[in-house]
Amino acid sequence: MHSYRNQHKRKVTVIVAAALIFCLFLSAIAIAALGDRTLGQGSRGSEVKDLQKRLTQLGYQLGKVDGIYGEKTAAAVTRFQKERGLKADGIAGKETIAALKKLTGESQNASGKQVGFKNSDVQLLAQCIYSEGRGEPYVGQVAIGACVMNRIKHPSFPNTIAGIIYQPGAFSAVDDGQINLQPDETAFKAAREAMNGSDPTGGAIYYFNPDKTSNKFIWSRPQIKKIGKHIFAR
Amino acid sequence: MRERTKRKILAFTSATLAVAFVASLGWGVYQYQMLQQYKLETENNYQRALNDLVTTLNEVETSMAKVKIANTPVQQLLYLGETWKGSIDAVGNLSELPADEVGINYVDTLVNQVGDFSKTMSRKIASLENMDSEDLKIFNDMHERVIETNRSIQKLANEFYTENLPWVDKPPGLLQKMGFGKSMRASAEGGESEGQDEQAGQQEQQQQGQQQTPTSLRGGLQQLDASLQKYPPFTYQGELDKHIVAKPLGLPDGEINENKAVAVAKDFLQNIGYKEATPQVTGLSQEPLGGFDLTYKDAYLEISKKGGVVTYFRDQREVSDRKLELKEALGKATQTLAKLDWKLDVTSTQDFGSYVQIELVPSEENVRLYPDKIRLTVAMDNGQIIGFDASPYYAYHHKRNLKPALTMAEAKEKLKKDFKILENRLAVISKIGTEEALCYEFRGTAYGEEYLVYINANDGSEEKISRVINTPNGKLIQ
Repeated sequence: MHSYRNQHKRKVTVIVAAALIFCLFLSAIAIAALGDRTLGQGSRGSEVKDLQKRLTQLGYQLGKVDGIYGEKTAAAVTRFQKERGLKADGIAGKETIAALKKLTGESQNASGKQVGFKNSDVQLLAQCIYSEGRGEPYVGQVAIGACVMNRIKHPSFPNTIAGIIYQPGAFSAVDDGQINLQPDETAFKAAREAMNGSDPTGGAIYYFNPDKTSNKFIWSRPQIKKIGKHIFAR
Repeated sequence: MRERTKRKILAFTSATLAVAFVASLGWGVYQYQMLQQYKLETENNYQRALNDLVTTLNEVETSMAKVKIANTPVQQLLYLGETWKGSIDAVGNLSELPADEVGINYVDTLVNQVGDFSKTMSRKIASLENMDSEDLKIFNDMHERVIETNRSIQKLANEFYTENLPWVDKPPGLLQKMGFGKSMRASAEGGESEGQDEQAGQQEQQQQGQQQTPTSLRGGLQQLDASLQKYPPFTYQGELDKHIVAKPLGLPDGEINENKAVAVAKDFLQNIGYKEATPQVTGLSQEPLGGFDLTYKDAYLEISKKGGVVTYFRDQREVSDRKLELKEALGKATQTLAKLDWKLDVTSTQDFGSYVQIELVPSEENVRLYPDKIRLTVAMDNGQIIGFDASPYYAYHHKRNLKPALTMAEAKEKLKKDFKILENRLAVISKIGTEEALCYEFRGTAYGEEYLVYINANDGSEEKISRVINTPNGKLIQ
């Protein structure tokens, strides 16, 4: 009788302990944050997803944000490391993750208070540039972004980047859905440069591919110059 | 036996076909319903934009009428503010309507200019000036046109609701596309082939300009827009449309030819680190700051015809691994600039990893000339300048009167008492249009924020306030 009770007790203890360990394990997975451990090819989980999200936010194309550290993610990490002067090994260690976190963090005011992200339009402008001008030389891509920026200052157009890009009929890439493609690093660079005020077009507000359009209105605009395949006009 | 097998096969086949038919029918109905659902949602958005536009434009028109009679700054500012805000809203609504891109240019322009002009007038009245007779004339003309536009849009909206017009004209049906039967649109296009919708829109506009009743809202908007084209454009001082400077102030005298342009480019490339470069003219451009487009390997340059200077340069080469710190890169860039005969102060840097974007301005008699800025991009693999944009410099640089009427101490008096000054200097800043102001610039902190406050060095007014924040890439002036 006595031994049976002892045995029973032990059984209960073992079960409770196992359950506890299991719970701890689960919560460890659930609350694992980026930076807790080194990530490399083969890693999986929410931390990898966070890593992928941040890389995508900076314009490093890596395919789907799926939480699996594959070849593409490793390649993106390597590119990031090269551009930041870090050891380029494709493994997301402490240093790499810290740099990534800093660059994707919020802006701060003088007293260190977080005041939000200040570059929300870069993504949309990069999407526009990528969908309208991938394959064009870099300057041609900046030029497309500059056209959007010039329209903001022009009275005939809406006053925001989104207003201009999504104006019905304004960009063919918006009408056929290509605007939703994930832009590459070049498009992001071009978008930043255009938003910074750089304008290789000399004030253009229209551009078109002369081989693909016969639109009389667009041909009637005063032309400024040709960059890549596009003619820029005002 | 055979007969039975045959019958079995037949029964099986027909059953399969029946199931397939029912399934595809169901799928079709489902797709149709989905389509209707999406269409409804889209049209609801259009509906909202149209209603908002009618309401807002009506409010803008009313506020403008009130501005004319208001005789105290309080009321003037109030109604100018309403006009300004209403215009911005109306432009937003216009951009959501399914018009052609070029279909509502004139309405857009008018409304935007009304907002812009109201903003300029608000500033004027806030600095205790009055709208002069010329301002009032422009404002009256604008009001007249807004009344007419407002009436037309209301009429169009009314027609749209009462006659149940579609949003856009029906696209040609499948049969018409294949060449059977003649649709209205096909005849309007004059036999143009597929994929030239924009052109079709243009011709549609012309056709509908002749007919007086629109067949769709899009057509109606184009008609309305065409009716506005007969008016002359406004000339006024505002913030819009200053992205091109018709007459650059800073270009040297004289015109150059192609050979000289090549020589200028070669010299520039040499100083930047390309020995024995052989740039070639690859295009001509029609802009006040340009003339010759040149390329050499991955580099692209714009040389001005007037004066023969490099206004824009961009090297599109691949940048390899980052090897430099920000400070080293800035040092190297400054050295290169010295070779190019530029002496400039760095005003901001943004670090993007493989490259940095830098803004620099020149000084004259210890006064910073902010309008005359130069933008640089520096590669972080070897510190070479890969981007150089001097168009603001050549657009705005000119001889200015840099003698302040106020002393620094007098200007300080104008600041809020809580403002802790960290740095101060004289600077020229740009105002509305091509206007500029000589100011005392005060960098300092208050309420946990960093600010740049500009006090006009001639009349002591508070010209401009900027807020400085720290982004992950560097300081940003908002």
